Amino acid sequence: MSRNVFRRVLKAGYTVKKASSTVAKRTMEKVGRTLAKLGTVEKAENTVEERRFSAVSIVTEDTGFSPGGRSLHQTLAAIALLAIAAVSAQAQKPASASVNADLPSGAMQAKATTACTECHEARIILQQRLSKAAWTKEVDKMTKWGALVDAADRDALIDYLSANFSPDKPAYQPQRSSGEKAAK
Amino acid sequence: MNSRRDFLKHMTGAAVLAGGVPLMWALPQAATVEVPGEDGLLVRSFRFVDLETPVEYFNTWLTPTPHFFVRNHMHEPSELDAKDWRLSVGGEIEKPLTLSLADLSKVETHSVVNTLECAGNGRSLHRPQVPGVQWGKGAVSTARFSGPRLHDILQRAGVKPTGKHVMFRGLDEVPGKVPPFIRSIPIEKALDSDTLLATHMNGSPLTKHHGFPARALVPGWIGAASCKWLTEIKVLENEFVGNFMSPGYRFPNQPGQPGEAVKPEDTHPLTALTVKSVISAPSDGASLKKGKVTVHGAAWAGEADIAKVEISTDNGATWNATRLAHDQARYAWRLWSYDWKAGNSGDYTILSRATDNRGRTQPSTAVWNPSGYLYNAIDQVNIHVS
Repeated sequence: MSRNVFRRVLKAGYTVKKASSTVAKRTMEKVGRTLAKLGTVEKAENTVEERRFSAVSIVTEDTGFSPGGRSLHQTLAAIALLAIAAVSAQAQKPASASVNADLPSGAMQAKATTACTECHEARIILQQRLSKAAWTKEVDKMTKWGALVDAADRDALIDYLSANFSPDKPAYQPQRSSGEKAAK
Repeated sequence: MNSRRDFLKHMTGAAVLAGGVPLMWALPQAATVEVPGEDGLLVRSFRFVDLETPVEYFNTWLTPTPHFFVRNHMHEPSELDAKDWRLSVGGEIEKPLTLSLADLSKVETHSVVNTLECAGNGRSLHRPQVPGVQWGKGAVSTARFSGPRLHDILQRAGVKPTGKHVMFRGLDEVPGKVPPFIRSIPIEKALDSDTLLATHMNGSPLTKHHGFPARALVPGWIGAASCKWLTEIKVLENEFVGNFMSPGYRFPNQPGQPGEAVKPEDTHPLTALTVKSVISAPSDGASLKKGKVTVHGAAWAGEADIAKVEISTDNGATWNATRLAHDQARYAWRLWSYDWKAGNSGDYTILSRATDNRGRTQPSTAVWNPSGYLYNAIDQVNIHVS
């Protein structure tokens, strides 16, 4: 670990008021593994800096540890912090989702996909919770705006949307964006 | 710029943090969607791009650009070349102009810290539910926008006495037969000294998601007024006629029954934002330990100033004044905080209620309207204390 990294970790660790010995022990075991996963010290350095906010919020919830001295306190806290930061970085880097979501299965899935996702992706539909009357208005508006819906399919499409995205369905849970690449 | 860390430090870290565990920790790790430059936002739509700022990010006065919500009606311009970009100014003026980015950079720059909020922010909270992007509470952010005053450009062009409205056209790429995204604002607002042709945001050139190379910035008004990727400004005799002026972005003159249709003649175009507050932490559904809990959030009122924000921890029976943070600007939100001593175990509903200097107060129920605009009911989170 470079001196710079360690200084940052200590600085961060100093702000941690309480850290349980259990957490410290557990995280000490993890620290080697997670650092190995991260591959390079440089990457760990960035990760600690970026994730420190999240890590501190977790550590401060734990209670019951009375440090024997400042250096032990600092060291344990620092290790715990680094480990949690590193683990959190791994946990927050799952494989990227497909940028385009899918509409639910059903007889009208293919036709709905063709009609609707020419202009916008499926998430716009997945998040709606509308009555049949409201879906009817939407389908007619979108057809006017260029959605290719055969007249013979209109009612079936409205039924498909009303059945899958009615007000009684559980709320849609959006994903988060990950902006690791720099914006142009 | 204030950092989130600094703000939290001022608000006695542990209690805030314990109460404000970011939502991402409370949920299973769903796969993220890669959107370059936009970090940790809620993906309402990827194509076209609509990204919501999670409320836990409402803890810096200026929102870092990667956390600033993104609202697009259609596809972003596929090609934007700063060198080739031109902005035309025409219509009811004496001298038509064609301006390059270099031309704009020679005009005196003005900066405005503005809270930009999508008119549809909170749409998902209206009942009955209405169609549209189902924004939660986070289609709102604050940034320092900079660029020439629109007034100075229009003065150079020479507005004729017949010029009463100013139309903005962007380079949005229109899918299918969707009407183009064109809107207008009244000449009085266009000539206001704080209305900008913004080229910069938080000190850097606008990113593509936020309207590079230039956008309108109509402070205190609904986000849709601040057209992105500007290519044309046209001074008109009358309000622009088009889908995004009517039926889009209109509000009932009088509150009606939720779910009932509203006649077009009984509506008016949306302009300034209304009074509103949102709780940033604790998170809805949080479990906290007894002791001090810092409740904090943001409040804004469009062209008006926030006079006070009150908190209730007993479901509205009693209200307590919050501390308004130091940072303020005419069109910007105020951060606020309240130290609550959670003395007893149990379930609590925490409410926040803002009042502005015009005497407007957040209502307990927002005015329902068919497109779900201007949701501004008293905010609430439900928490458990043990």
